[in-house]
Amino acid sequence: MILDSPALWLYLVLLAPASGAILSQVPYPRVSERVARVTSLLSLAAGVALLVLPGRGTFGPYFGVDRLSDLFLFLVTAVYVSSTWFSRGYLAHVHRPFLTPERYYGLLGAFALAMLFTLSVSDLGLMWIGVEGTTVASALLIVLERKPTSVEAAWRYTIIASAGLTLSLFALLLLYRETGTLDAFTLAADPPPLTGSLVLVVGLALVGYGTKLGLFPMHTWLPDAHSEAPSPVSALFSGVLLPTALYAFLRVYDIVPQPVPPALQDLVIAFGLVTALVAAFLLQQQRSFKRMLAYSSMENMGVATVGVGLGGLAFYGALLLLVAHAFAKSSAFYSAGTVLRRVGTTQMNKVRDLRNRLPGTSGAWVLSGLAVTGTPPFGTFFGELFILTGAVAEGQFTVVGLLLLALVVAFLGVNAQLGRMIFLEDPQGPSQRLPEGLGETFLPWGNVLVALLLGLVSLPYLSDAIRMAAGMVPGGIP
Amino acid sequence: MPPTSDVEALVGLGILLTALYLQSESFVGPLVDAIAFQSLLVSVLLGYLAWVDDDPSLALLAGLAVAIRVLLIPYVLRLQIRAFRWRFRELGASQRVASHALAAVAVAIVAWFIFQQTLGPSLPPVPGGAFPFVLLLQGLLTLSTRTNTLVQVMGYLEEENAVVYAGALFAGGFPLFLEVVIFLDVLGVVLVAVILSIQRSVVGAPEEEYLEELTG
Amino acid sequence: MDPTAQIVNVLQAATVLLLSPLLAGIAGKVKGLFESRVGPPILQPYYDLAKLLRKETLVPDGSSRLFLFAPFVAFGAYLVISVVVPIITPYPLPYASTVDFLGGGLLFGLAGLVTLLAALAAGSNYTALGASRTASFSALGEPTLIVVFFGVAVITGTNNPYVTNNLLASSISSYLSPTHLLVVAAFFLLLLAETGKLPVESAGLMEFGMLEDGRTFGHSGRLLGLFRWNGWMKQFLLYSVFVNVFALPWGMSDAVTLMGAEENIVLLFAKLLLVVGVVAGVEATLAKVRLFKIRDFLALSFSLAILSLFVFAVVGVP
Repeated sequence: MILDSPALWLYLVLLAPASGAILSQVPYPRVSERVARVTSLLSLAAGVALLVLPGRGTFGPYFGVDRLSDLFLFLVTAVYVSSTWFSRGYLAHVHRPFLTPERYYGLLGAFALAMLFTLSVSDLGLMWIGVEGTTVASALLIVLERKPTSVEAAWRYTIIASAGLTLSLFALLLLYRETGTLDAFTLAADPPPLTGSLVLVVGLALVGYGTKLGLFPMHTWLPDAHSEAPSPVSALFSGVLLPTALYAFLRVYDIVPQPVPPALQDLVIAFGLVTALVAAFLLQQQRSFKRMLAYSSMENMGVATVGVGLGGLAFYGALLLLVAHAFAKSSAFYSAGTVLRRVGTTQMNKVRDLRNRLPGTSGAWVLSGLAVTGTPPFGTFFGELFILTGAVAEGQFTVVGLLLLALVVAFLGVNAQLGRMIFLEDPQGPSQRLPEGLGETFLPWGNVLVALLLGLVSLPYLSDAIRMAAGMVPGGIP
Repeated sequence: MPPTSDVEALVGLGILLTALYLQSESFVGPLVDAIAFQSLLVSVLLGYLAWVDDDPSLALLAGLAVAIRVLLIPYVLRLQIRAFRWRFRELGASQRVASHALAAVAVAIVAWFIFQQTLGPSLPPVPGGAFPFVLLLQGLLTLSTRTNTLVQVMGYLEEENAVVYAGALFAGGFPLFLEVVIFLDVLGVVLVAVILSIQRSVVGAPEEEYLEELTG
Repeated sequence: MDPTAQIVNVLQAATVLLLSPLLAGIAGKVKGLFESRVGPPILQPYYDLAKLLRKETLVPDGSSRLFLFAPFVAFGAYLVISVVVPIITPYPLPYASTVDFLGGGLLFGLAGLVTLLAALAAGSNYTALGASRTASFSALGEPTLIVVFFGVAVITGTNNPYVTNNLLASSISSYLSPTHLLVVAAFFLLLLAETGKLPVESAGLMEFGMLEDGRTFGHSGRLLGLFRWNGWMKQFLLYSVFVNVFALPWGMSDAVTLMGAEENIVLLFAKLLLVVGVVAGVEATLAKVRLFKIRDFLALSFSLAILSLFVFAVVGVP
């Protein structure tokens, strides 16, 4: 039956945001919004279908999916849907926006398309183009509010991310020279011999894609961009853009023949570890809650990178972490967006007594704060648990110790701040309840509950998919 | 016809000197010309190799490189300078010419060393094989040590030139189709960068208190 | 020892001695013409020399013996250099093995040092100013000079300027190699700095702007005459080295005869005039840079010199 063919759904998953982006250019904001919403749902349907269907393989010379890409595709479409639906409320309160709603939805669609494109191609060069495309598409989204700081943030993001990605391009060129092909699947199946140049390739790819991923010391754009962007866009950034960059690196890392030389493995782990630690500590000094959430994303990506470096069970944990984190962090950013809209500031020391002012939102926010810092029973906790277990299994006790330190510090930082904002009384006297839109509260709750469910491992298809995805990568469990 | 290695050596020299100039000059107009010249050198190399190897795809690539990187992008950048007078020179850079120049030389040596350690043995002994990697790091240096927006864009373009240069030297490069798309991507980035810098001047460079927000 | 070679040797020293004022005179005339004036007469340096040698020599109170001896020591150093580097012969002369290229550089340094100390010995503020400035800029210029020597050495594998001259004259690909081109550029910039040309220095009577001129402010009469002569010899020697070892090594006759040597003198002078023209052009188009910019100028020349070695490592010389 034609509906069983993954090719169809693959083309749909790309076509939906593309057509959404184009069709939403009609000069009627309502229509454009509806178009965007519908097409995002279509792409989600395609994403789910791809996840569920058993067929795999390559389609044509350039497209190809396996379990890993299916997982990520689903993730991107899911967060794309929630961000698109959340955007209406957000756009309503921005005055003098840089982008009209049509352009906004258009760019949002283009952003999603670029990410989905990266995830659905089998050629590493095209993957690079996809990642570079996300930079182009998302840079303009950051300046929606036309503030000087937004422009500065968008500027830094564009230039740093592009410069870093050029390093990866150089790496791909060298790889092509070495092996004569850039097809990720054939290279992974039949790895080239381990030479100095292959090591340089992986190293450059790590630094290059690491720039897009937010690894230290290339992370300088991350807090600015994630905090200055509108909340739905920040959700996309933290939730799925960073994992997409990690995916691109992963495809390059897969090419290294097993067993991976310890030096290279240590390099990846070191980058991840330092990123997590730096982020955890810098998190403490933030005054804006959006910036704090941005650093939390950086910390999570650092932990995930450690999992990637360790391989095996830890890799499975990294994937679980990424999936759960995407839902949890997007939820956190949606709540943050609501708070910003209703209360009017992002400065944490000026926000108090949220549980009375915005009860629905603050409930979701507390939960998402716990979720992003890896509290049981959320999915992130299990992800981090598997990573730590994997590290112990390989005897990397320093890694375990440092990772625990980062996790604890981040946990305390995020939750203490959130707690202060939500539970402490306003010294200026009792405050009144602020209006909360239904959609505004539904989406954060929805996403954070998904993160919870993941933890409860009661979504058999998803966890199976993760298991099998881990099995596709060398070193994963079968 | 001069032997290929001579042409490659001279092109490499020109590119290296342009990179040095790019690092030490503080006026932006001449820098735009410098990056155009550098792209031209890379295109000349591509064209020469296309002629020697009788490869039409390389020739097409050379033509595209000239059109986009030597003509179009510098033109766009020039418009930027004309539109925003205060962009035409980087303040404070003239004080640091000596240290910038020496930093450029130091980076070149380090880059060559890394190249020798990792890549040299496995690549054929192309004379000047280290130059693309050196140029890559020079671009990164320019990007990170300079503060003027347009100069940073040129650091980025320098990096992209390095990639095309590497593709030309280590014969074959990417399949043509990919290279074309990459070119357009670069164009896209430059356009976004330009739009952002327009926005920046409309909104104004951020003041102290706002910059505080971006610290940490 | 071959008597002809001995005579040519002496001829070479005499050439440097006697023709350097002429070169300086021509340089002054050309510069004047570039500036749309008539310029001083070509033989003016000779008249100056004659005048100064007749004048009374004043010695400041409290200056040391060095004040009196320095001009002679420098003069001697330049005379030694004049028989060591290739000026009128492409083959090494009997005394050429006194010092090699590096040694020649050290002799230049000696002359400079001794002039510097004499300036300090003069005990005047202006001379001290000139001395300190020259010293700090030389400190930046010396590494460039050494690296230029290395650059030359890597091209040929030896430190012998005559070998370099022969190699560059015979092999066009060596001449056009990137290493060599960079070395020429670096040395040219250094040349401008060492001989006191714009954009580094303008000879004149602006006391506060003086760099090298200031050093000799305290001397008079015969001593000043000798210092002036030293300056001209230094210029002649540096230009000759530039021409014969770096930039224009072609055309010198091998014949170990007086006729051959004389032909070479004429050829050399022609090449030197070319250099004078180029330098005058540079001086006419550039303004004197501010003092701190000289550091940038020298850093640039140093970068070029280092890059010449770097390019050699990357590309090699065909």
